[in-house]
Amino acid sequence: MTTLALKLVALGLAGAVAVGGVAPAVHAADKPPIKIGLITPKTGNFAQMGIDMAEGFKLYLSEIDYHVAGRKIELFEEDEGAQPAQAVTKVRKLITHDKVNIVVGLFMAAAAYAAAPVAQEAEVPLVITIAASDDLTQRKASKYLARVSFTGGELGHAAGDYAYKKLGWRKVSAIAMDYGWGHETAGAFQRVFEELGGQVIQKIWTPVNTADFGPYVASLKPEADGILDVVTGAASIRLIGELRKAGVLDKKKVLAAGSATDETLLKALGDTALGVLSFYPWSAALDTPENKRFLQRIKQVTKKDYVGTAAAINYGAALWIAEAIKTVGGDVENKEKFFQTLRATEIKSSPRGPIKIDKYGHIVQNIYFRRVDKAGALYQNTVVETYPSVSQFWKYNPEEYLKQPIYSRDNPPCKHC
Amino acid sequence: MALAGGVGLVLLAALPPHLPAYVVIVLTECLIYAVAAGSLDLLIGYTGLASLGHAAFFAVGAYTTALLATRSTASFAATLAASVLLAAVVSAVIAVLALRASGLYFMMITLSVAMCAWGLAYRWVSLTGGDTGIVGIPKPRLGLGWLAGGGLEFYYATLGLFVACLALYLLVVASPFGKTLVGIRDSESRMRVLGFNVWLHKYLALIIAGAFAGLAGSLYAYYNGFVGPNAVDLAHSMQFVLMVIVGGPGTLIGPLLGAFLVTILEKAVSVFTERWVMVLAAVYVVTALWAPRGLLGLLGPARR
Amino acid sequence: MQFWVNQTFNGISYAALLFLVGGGLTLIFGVMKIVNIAHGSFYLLGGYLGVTVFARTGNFYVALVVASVAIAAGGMLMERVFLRAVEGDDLRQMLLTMGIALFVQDLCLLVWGGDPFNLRGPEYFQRSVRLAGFSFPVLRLFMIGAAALVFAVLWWFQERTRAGAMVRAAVDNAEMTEALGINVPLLRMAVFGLGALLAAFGGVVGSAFMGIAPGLDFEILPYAFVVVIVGGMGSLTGALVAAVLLGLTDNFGKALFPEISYFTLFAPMGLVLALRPSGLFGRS
Repeated sequence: MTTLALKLVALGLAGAVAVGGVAPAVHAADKPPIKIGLITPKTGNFAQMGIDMAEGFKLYLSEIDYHVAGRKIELFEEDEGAQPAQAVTKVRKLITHDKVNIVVGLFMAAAAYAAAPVAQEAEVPLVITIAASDDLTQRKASKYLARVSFTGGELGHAAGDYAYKKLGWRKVSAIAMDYGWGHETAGAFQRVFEELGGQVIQKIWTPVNTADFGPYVASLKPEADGILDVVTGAASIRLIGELRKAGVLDKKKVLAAGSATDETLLKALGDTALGVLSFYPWSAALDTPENKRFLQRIKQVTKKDYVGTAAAINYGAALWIAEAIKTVGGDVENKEKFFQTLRATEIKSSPRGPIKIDKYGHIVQNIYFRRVDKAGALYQNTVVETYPSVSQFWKYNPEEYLKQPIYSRDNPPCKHC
Repeated sequence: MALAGGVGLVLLAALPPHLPAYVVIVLTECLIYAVAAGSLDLLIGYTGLASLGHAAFFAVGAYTTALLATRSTASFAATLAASVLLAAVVSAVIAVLALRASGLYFMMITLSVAMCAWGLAYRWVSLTGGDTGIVGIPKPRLGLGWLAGGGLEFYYATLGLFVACLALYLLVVASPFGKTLVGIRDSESRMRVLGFNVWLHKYLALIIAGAFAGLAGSLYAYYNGFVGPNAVDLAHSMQFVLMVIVGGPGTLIGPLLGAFLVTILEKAVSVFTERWVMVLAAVYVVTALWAPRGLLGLLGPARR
Repeated sequence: MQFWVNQTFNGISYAALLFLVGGGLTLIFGVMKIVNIAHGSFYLLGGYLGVTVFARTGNFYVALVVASVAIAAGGMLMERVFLRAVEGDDLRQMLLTMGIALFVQDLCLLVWGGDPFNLRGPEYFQRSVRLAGFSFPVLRLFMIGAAALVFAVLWWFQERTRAGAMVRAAVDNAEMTEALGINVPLLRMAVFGLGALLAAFGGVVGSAFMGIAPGLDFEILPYAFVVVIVGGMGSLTGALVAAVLLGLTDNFGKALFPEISYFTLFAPMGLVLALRPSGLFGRS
């Protein structure tokens, strides 16, 4: 019995070591491969997003045959799951165990906030390809962090401008999810919109997994010219459906954060979302040769009619990283130089447009304003307006901007509510 | 049994400086969960209280630490103490509620408590950060600088606390109080007839267990660097129960092993397959069907 | 006036969904004394299956029936193969249902992928009915009607049939019931199947109402639990009353005090737990 128990203890420890495992074999012959760690959700609520992210990223890598600057690329994929704690553990694994040269991915904002210090401490570049949260590249910016996706603030500012100047709105009701993404997008929108002279007369915060939007929709103030919608994913289907059924969409226009009308949701949204305006850094309907080529190739891989923004952004990320590696001649081991180069690398054209990184590590990019239309049997986000080279700080001076606290539920305060 | 435990502890103390950094990280997490599983075993295994809401007290400890560490300059010791205290206080309040029921109803109520805790963590945005949680928890200043920095320092602090908790658990279990708990588990009516204050014993057991869960939660917050509502969701609550049952309820060592097993399993399996959730599901099912007394139960006769 | 009528109507229609989900769970509790963590999984599977069947047949009612019956069968199988083996041990049963819930979650991800679906349903679901100057969406009317019908059928079954009497007897005292020669194991299997059927039914309806996506299994579970706790474990009437109470509280709460939405669901539960743990209609 004691022997058996002893064996159990040994087994337990052995298991722990097994996770650590045998060190990966090193090929002495040719140059060692460049190791890229890709972490995206593969299980849990966001699994589909994660699959899209990975497919986009890997598509580019397969186009360059997993080779760049004379070196092979070895890709380590990990599951972010639906819990930030898991994401952090996996990032730690990629860094300490797999010894990757760069970590790419992350979907959850909380995961990104938690993983950033880990990467910073280990001095490993972390490229965020979806997670939004403003502060990661603002007040909490770190040396080794870059983000090529978008932030709520960045999108919100542009939307505020568009709503006032192009849509002619003066009074807006905002309905947004009660977490970082909702706070930051709505907050940024309010700031720009009100500085131009508009008024946000209502701010409704909804819990992230609200099932019934009926009461919220019923409490929308009739005097609003338009509605700002920052409700994403499956919940967006519920909200837009409710807005349609309540007749709101017949009388007013809805301007939504693009995550509410992402291509992956269009089929489920169906006719209810026709006419809904949105803002996002990409659209499948973007009429550029790069985008068309990308769409054609990714559809061969996924065999689906719709391609999501996550795939496009990650494709662009891979493209950008590969460019940077080429620029340093494959010398990713020289961390300082590699990361400087990464940040300085500019892509003139990718499926989403140009890619450029600002001083704080965030992308400067085009924001597209789209409208849900039907083209034949499929739906699409027709691009109706492009705001080029939008910075996360909009037109504000970064140092001044950072003196203010991050957008939250109460910031900016709702003076006209 | 004691020999095996001793050997295990020696290995846990001596090996880490020679192990890869990632393994040390995983072992740290195992230790944290072992503390939590041990505290739950006091309830499930020794008192016969099937508490499904243990994650609630774990979360109280975690959030307390998160708030103190990010909003004040309280020391590691003070933060830990505050977390344990608050978890104990919350336990004391909840226990009054929960002990009005027994059996299945008790299970339901404790489960509901966990759900309420989750709901609070999720919606009290100004306090808990809501869905985003509280991020940026700094590593505690431990003053053990003479060990290699980074993960090792925190590992040994955790190991030290784990050993202390283990000693306390053994003390509780071996004491007359502990023996009474076992008596209550076996037959409440008999203990009542014998003149024991059954309610008070259960009440104290819940508070003690809650306090230790709070300690584990506190370490969890430091370990991850952040806390979110995930810490107290249903799956997490169930995980504690699984660890206790897989290891063997009522054996103390069993649940500690169970914590190691379940934690390592989740990490190891996801390396080989994306369907690791199904593997976890299989563990739940297999344990429930064929190993209700856990691993240690499989090894020897039921320890009654 | 518009506001009150609309909100009340919304609250009742939401209550319909809550009743379907919670009603099944309360039956399973009452008769089988099982903490069925897999209840959300029945909902999820029902919803996905409903979407698939509707896509194939174009008929919502066929989808409703097929999904409900299929999941009911699955539930009975689950009871027979798995749960019966651990009968009597609450903790083991609960662990088992948790394992099955996890398995179903990953299975659904494998089969249906991660994108959300919306069950369009028949064309009239997109329309509203105008009555006395108010506009009532047909889908919500259907939800209320369906739930009311389900309750009526179940109530009649429970109160007026022999089989129903057996179920009631089993809730009150399983041992006595068995001693009276009633095939309790068969009864338990049937009731579990019924609980699963209700959850799946709710899943299909819910699919049309708010879509179906990964994660809904564990998201819907708290709602079901709240209905069961507030209404009282094992009481169908309790589930109905609790569902209405909660649906209205939640709706008015969201509309009048959007800041505390979600609390409006858990506060009643907390109150009931503190004051009357057996629930409004439960038996201590």
